[in-house]
Amino acid sequence: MLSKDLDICVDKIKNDLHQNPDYVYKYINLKNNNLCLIYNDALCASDKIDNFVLKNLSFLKDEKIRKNLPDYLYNSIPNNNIKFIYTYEDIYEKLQTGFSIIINKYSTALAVETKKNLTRSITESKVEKTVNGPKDAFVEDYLVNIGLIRRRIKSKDLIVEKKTLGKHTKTAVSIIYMNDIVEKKIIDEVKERLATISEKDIMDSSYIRSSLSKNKYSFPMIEMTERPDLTSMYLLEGKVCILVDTSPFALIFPTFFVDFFHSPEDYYQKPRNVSFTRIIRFIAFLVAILVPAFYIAITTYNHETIPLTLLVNFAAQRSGVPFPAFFEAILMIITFEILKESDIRLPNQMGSAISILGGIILGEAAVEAGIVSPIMVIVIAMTAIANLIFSHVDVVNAIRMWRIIFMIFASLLGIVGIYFCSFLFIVILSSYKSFGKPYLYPFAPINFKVLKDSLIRLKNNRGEKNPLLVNNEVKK
Amino acid sequence: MKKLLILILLILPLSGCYNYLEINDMEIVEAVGIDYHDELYSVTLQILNINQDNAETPIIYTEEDNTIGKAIRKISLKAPNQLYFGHLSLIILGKEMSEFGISTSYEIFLRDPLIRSDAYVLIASDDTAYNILNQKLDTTVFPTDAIINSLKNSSQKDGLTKDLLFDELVAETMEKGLDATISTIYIESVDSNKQTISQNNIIKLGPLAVIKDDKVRYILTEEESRTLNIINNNFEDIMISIEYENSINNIDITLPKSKIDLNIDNEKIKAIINIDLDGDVTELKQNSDAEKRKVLEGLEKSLENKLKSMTLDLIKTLKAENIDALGLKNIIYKHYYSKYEKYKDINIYDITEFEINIDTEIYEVGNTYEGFK
Repeated sequence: MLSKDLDICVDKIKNDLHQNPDYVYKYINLKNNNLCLIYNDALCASDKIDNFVLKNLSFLKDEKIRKNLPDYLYNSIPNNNIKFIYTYEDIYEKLQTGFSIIINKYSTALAVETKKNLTRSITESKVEKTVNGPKDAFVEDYLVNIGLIRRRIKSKDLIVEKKTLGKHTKTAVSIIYMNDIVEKKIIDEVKERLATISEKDIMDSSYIRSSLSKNKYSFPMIEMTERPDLTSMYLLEGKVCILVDTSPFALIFPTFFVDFFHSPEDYYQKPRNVSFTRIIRFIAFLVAILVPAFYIAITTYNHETIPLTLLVNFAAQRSGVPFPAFFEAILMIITFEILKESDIRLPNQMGSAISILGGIILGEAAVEAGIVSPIMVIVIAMTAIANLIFSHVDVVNAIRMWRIIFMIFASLLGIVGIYFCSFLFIVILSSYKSFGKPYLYPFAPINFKVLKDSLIRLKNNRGEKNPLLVNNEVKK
Repeated sequence: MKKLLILILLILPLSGCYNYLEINDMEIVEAVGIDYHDELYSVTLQILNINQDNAETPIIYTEEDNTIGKAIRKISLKAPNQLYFGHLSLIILGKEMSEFGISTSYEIFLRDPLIRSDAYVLIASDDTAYNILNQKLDTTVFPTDAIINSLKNSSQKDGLTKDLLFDELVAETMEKGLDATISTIYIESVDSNKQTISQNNIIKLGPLAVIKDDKVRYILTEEESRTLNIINNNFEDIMISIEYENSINNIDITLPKSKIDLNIDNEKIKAIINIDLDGDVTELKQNSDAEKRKVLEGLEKSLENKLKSMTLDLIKTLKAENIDALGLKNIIYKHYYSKYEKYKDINIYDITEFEINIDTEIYEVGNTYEGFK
């Protein structure tokens, strides 16, 4: 209950807010009704306060109206988000979200939204680039993000369920899905899992992701995207999306392994040409994961598989290199990873220095000095380039991990080791489940209809319902 | 993940990195030569020179011992790195070896899993294998590759040789009632009177040698080698010169579909050799129009006569030398098994009646109809 005495009320608020200097207390002296306007300087836009609140308050002249001041203010202030407030707790909550509070002696405060725009404007997507198709990307403001999706799907069945997570952060999190398509079981499971982390403070959508999927998987079970067009395609397929305020990345699940071979751009180009692109992506995946292991296997165990002239070249290039092929490869991979990491962290102006350093040290000096053989530089460079085809950092990292596992097997057993490790790889991948859905779908379990839009693309457009994801009523 | 770790830890002690070998720590053996002299085997290894500047001058190691395996072991003590036979591509058997018995060389190649047995095999017709392998060649590729390429080419495009792998040779010599044939190789010395750019002798592929009872019994002439390859369908195209209306014309024969049938009827053996091929006119040295049906028929006729006389010549030689390179006894073994024992040791060509059917079709005559005289 708010105090009827203005001074006591304001003092209590001041004390509860620990006398923080970014709160502004502005007293407005009227004849009988003194008012106090409280707002947070960092969160509120001063022009909104001037134009919509103070301007109105200064016109309060009529005695009759003043008798029921809160009601009068509620009706006269031109603001779409104005609320009555009766408790101190509500005052504090509203102050944190950019409201201005008008305290008076009627024990009914008013909260007027005067939020400052603290987000950047919609820009081109930086991580998942495309040539054709829409260019916009999600921003940090989740309401803008919901808007970007609603612009694409103008349906009453697009449900946005809002939740607030975090003891201190109080982050707005919304679950978005198509009510007429999605399987309700997945929604229930998501809500259940979110309920368990309601106290957890959230900085980014990836905080939620690690809670939603078990961490032991190397490949991501939940896809993160910054593209609203891709998100809308997935929603129409029957997937669920989670948007988190302050994060420009949407979480999408259930995710299948084959999704990482797809790009939204695939659907803005001719299907048959895209099939070729996808095969190239798959080859790049194999190159990224297998080539160093294969090189180690054939140069240390299975020499018969190399054509004779190539074998002579390999042997000539390797003569003088003191390390075993496995160690040589690990050395190069670590050097490349360090280079990649420093390139990401470094300010833009120093990028060219790094590329010159990397190019000369990796490409020439290491070979000249006899630390690595030129063919190993080619192998690692090929692998690195093939790896960069995937825009998802988690996929890139998972491939890197498996590449080293493959290399260990190759250095122990040669080609047989690679065969053994591939078997292990497929067994592990097919054991994964993303929200109860098999990860290798549509390959295992096989579905020929969906297979037409997997490694190759014969179907025309995305956005058709995925038979594995839709609820049973729709299936009928 | 824990299971994976246990698996990897298990593999480490169990596998022990079996046959781990870095490529720069091995001597790549490309050719093996085997000679026999005074009850000692002499093994010559031709090893690729890793130094790229002198790749065409290989390293030669040779050692003698009473078994091939021991001789190889002696070489491995000499060579700086481990000998690697995984890319072995040529085996040459010396002249004395082919007279002593070639099957003594089979064991090491067939039993040792680290030595490749699908290498091409040749017999040095009048020299040692060491001399052939030690011969400096005018070539920019590896010498062994040069020999193998030339072997493949002359067997496909000329019909003179036979690209036979070592395990195929073993299979052929083991075949009942067949005298195996194998290509030969020899050194042609440079005539010192002639002015040539090259100072080196030339290694040349020769006609087929026939192996009977584990020894080289007879070396066919070039013409006989070609005829044998025509009957065995062992070529892609061969150029044959025929005489038609008093001028020499050349026909390329292709697409062989020949076969030998054999009937035994009341102790009378009748062999039917069916030669069926297509021909293309490559040189026509007369004014007749090659498009005319009559001319083509005439050419076909004389080609058939030529092939027939070639076949009869071959049969005559086989009969005189008592060698069964056509494998007539092999057909008896396969189709008339009960009678095989009876004919096993006699000269089958003495009692066989031959019927030679030749069917040729000349299709391609080129762009000019009339020949230039």
